[in-house]
Amino acid sequence: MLAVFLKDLRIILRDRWAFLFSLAVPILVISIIATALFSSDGGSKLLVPVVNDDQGPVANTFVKLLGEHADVQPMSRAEAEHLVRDQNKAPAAIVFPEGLSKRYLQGRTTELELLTDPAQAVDLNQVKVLLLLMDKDAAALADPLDEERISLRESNLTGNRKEVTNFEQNVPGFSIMFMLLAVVFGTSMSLHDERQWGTLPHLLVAPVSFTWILVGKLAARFVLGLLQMVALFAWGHWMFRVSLGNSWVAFLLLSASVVYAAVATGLLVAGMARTREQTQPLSLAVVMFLSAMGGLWWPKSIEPQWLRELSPVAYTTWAMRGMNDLVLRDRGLEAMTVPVSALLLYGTALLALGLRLFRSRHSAR
Amino acid sequence: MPPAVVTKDLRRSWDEREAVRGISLEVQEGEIFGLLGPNGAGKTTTLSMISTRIRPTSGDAWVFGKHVVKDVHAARRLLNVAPQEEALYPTLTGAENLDFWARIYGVPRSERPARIERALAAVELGSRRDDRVETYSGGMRRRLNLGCALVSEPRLVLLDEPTVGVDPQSRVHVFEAVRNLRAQGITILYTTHYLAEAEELCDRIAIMDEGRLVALGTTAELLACSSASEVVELRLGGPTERLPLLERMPEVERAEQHGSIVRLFTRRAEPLLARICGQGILDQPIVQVGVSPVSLETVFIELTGKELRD
Repeated sequence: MLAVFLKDLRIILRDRWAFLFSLAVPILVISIIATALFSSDGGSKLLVPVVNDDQGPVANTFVKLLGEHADVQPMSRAEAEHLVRDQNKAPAAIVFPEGLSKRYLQGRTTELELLTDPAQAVDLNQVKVLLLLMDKDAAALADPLDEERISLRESNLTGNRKEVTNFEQNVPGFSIMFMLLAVVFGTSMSLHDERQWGTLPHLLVAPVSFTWILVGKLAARFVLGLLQMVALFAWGHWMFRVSLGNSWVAFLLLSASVVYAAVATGLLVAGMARTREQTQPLSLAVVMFLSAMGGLWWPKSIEPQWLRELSPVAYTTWAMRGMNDLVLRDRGLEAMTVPVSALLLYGTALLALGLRLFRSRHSAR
Repeated sequence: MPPAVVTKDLRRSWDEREAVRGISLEVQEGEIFGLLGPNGAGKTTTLSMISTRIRPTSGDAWVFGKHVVKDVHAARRLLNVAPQEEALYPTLTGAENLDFWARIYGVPRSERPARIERALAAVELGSRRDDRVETYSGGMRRRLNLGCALVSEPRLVLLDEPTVGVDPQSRVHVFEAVRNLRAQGITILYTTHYLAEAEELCDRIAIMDEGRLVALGTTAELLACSSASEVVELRLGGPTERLPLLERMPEVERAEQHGSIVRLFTRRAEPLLARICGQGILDQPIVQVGVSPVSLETVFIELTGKELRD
């Protein structure tokens, strides 16, 4: 028993990279999750654009009260719409209409307009809570016994729906994560298998370009990954009524782009890892990193500001941006330009790097 | 018509160690050419350079006139390899493996079925064509590995130790397949560290040791390299202390002792035996006497100073 124990320990420790990767994966994942979920980020408050068409004492008081809990930024309606609809930097803008102070002080109900991006559901709910608090605080100042004098009218700036379901918020992220697991592991392990089966040396002396051999292998993984994405979203659509946006072409284009980047990631892992023992933890580390950084597990709004600013380095951030535009904002092909371009750019860079690494290790020496 | 393989001062180093040290040889089209040497002699490295798998550190090699570095794709189209380690997909069937390699080597679609059948027949695996490779025995996998090198019907087949770890029955099949290839005019470059295999199969043999070519020729030519023509093997009653005396005898070219067995390499066994028995040179009784012609092993030992199994 001792002999087997010592032999196994020796084998494990001899592959130092595999051992290091197996330690690094949990440390990396735990660090990212802890940073994202539990890091104190006192300086970062929820951004709430405010359109103050009233400019009266009541609206000014409301703005002041909101400012205690959020980063309130007065601006024009056009600017607020741009911030919410086009840049998706705020979940909603609040419009205080003209004559609000007058009606409020006369005891009449006034309707506030909320210009929303329902795709940012968690933050949007936070804005609504803030409005309730504001109304309560204002009522207490004016007349504690009086009933509420504020009503709310929501206008969705990014689509036709007032709200999105939990499934719609979770299906895209988890679908991409499972696709990543299958494609990154599949690609890197299949290249490792070619080494293990002894077929790689034979392929290397075949009268076919080494690049084309790799492209053939990667193409198979790409098709499988794309089928997986389509199947997962089709299931989500059929089972949970998850929207797939208003364009099948846009959905397929975005899915193909993210699968392309995932296949390239698999090749890079295969180029970096020398053994099966290295391939597994390295693949897992990469998938976990991309999932956490890209916001596949949770909304990015819960992350600290610095992590949000860093997140575009992970291509999954662009994939989620595209998916949110499709699924939660009912956008189409026109919204895919930036995310698809980013994914193709990342994919091509990773592919080039992976090819270079893999070739340098395995082609004629 | 250029020779099937030409190498000129072919060298390959790994870091500080020179694995192949200036190999120059020519393999003629249609012959079975053996590279014989112990493990680590540089046979596989030489084969790998000819197959284009690794680049020579210096020197040149051509396959049917195509340079293996400068005209690599043309050279690759003319050859195929059965690597020492099997190169098979275990979850595919035998026929599927052959089909894959046929596609990779650009065999036209219309010709593929016939080529696959011919390759299966050549390695006698027709009855297992639709079974997954993972269910094959070790010997069957080696034969299919050879089949994969044949399916493209190349002009040159490089076989790297094709019978290592193979059962006797499969070894016979491999030999049969190799002879059939020669009958079809295909050139075979065959590495082995089994003397009997080289003697039985190869038209010409190059003996390699420590990265160098130490002899090259037909079996008869190589045997002629030996200073002796016969080997006298004496089994004695016990270890003798008279070996120095035996070595000094004019009829003895070389002598060696393994326990109670003494081998004497000589040009003529008869007078030597007469003298040993007549003069009572030995201090131990002779239990058994054997006389045999010199073998390639003898030649190898004479040329390299070590036994092939080393």
